[in-house]
Amino acid sequence: MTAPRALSCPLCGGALAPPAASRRLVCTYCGRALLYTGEEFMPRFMIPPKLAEADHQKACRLLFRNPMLPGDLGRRAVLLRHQRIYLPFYLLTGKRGGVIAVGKERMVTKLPVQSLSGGAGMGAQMSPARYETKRTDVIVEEDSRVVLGDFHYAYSASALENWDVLDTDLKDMVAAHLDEAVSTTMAELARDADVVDVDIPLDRIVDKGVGAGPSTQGDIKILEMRTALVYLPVAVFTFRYGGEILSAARDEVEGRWLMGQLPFRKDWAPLLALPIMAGLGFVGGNALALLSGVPGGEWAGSPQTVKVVLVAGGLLGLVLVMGLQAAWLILRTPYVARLTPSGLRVEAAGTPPKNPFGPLNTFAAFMVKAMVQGRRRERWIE
Amino acid sequence: MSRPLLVPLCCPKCGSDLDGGPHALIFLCLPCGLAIHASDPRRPYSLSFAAPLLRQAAPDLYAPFWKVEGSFTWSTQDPKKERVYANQRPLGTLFVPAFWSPKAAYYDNLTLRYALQGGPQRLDGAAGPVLDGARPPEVLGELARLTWLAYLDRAADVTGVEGRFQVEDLSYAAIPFYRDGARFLDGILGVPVPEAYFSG
Repeated sequence: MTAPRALSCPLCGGALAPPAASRRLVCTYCGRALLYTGEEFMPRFMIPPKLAEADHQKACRLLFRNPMLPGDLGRRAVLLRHQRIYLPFYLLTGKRGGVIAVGKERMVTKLPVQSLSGGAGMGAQMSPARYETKRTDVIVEEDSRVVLGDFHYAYSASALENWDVLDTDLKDMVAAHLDEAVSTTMAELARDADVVDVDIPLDRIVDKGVGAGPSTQGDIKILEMRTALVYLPVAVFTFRYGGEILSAARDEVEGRWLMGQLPFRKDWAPLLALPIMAGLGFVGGNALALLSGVPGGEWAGSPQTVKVVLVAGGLLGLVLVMGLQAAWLILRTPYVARLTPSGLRVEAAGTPPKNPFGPLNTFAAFMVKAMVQGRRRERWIE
Repeated sequence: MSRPLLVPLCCPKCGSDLDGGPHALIFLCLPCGLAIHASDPRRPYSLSFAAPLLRQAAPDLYAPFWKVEGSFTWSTQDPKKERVYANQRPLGTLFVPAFWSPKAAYYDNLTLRYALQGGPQRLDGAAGPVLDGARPPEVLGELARLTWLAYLDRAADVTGVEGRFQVEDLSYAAIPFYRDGARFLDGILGVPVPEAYFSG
């Protein structure tokens, strides 16, 4: 059922706007109290934004200093737009109750029993005693519990299809800040912000959420339920960085980054590769110097040493091939740094181009195979 | 014929406007002593203000409760349970909160307290501002039945026990509360409840 656009006072005929926060309204013409009985009516509340512009600026600066993001992001990113968006949530509160069968477990310990045979008295012969070990059994007894309690749930009222954010994070935030919610109207919300439309029907939430099927253990019924819409303010920032347009969203209640896609710092690959290459060169050079005696002197290695050098060289070559491929992957895969409520996460935004090291890989595989097979053959001959 | 979207909120007895805050679904006519739920504006319930037993000063607020009077009957096949239940002291009048408080269940169960220790005795207190009431009267019978069953369950498990509550009289009672630092004390038994008890 859709809300009417205008109403008329039953007492004086004056035109009235549908109520937003309360079913009770007063006619602006005759001043009489009226009750709106529309079934679709849902009071609207908003959690007021707590963060000022300075807070956002500070958070952005801190975010741009993250080592996963390009070093010049803070200097070169230009803020194009700072927009407030209100995300809608259904708030369902009510009472439910019933009697459920829970079953009660009871531990029963059987004490050891000593059985004796033979007659009693002085002359009785005692046969060897038979002992039973101590045994504990769990007995489930029938038991019911009377449940009469309140429920209190927040559900996302919008599918948020273009939002890469887990709605559980947002629902928890709404539930945690309900005490701060204040009554509001759509006009008030839309004054300085965009309001996301409610596109999930309440019936679906009730059927699949709070009223999802009767309990299998008993009969818990929803006795009463009140529904309301609660709006959560979120700040969305749009930046330009080089030729890219970036965006990031931050809630304006707790100040957590919710989502966003930022460029990944790619100079990590050569920066990491440089010390690795230097290390490999240093180790390789020293090994050769040791094998050949004095640095710059004549070759002093035996055939066995030559073999060791070849194996070590092969292994170094393998490390080099793998390192080159890792560097290639890092450089050429379109990585992005994705903002999530738990922090920045690096993800591939697409598939990497074809690996140019194919022939090198084939050669390396051939070498490894030859070395392994050669050793095996030797062993077999022995 | 469909129900009109706007109905005048006026007292069926004197015709004056009914009182109620933004979250109210139960509206009051203080001069006539009537309470009317939005779901059925033609059916008024009598409204009374409980006189405080502990203090003489005017209360800081009145919290609305439904005063539910009726009879509870139970049946069970188990004679042992029957004996146990028969020896239980019957609950008195049930005062069920009419204000909306999602946190009420975390604190004291005033309904059970009043039913066991004696609720408001005199309902001729001075009128004052009352918190918004919202609970519909239709659910009170089931709430009363479950309250009784929970009470009996303390004495013996209610598995297989059939309970029925017949509502005989419903009225609306405003119970006085006094501020005591960061909490409130009810004016009848002096039970402390936190401020959040009333935040709906």
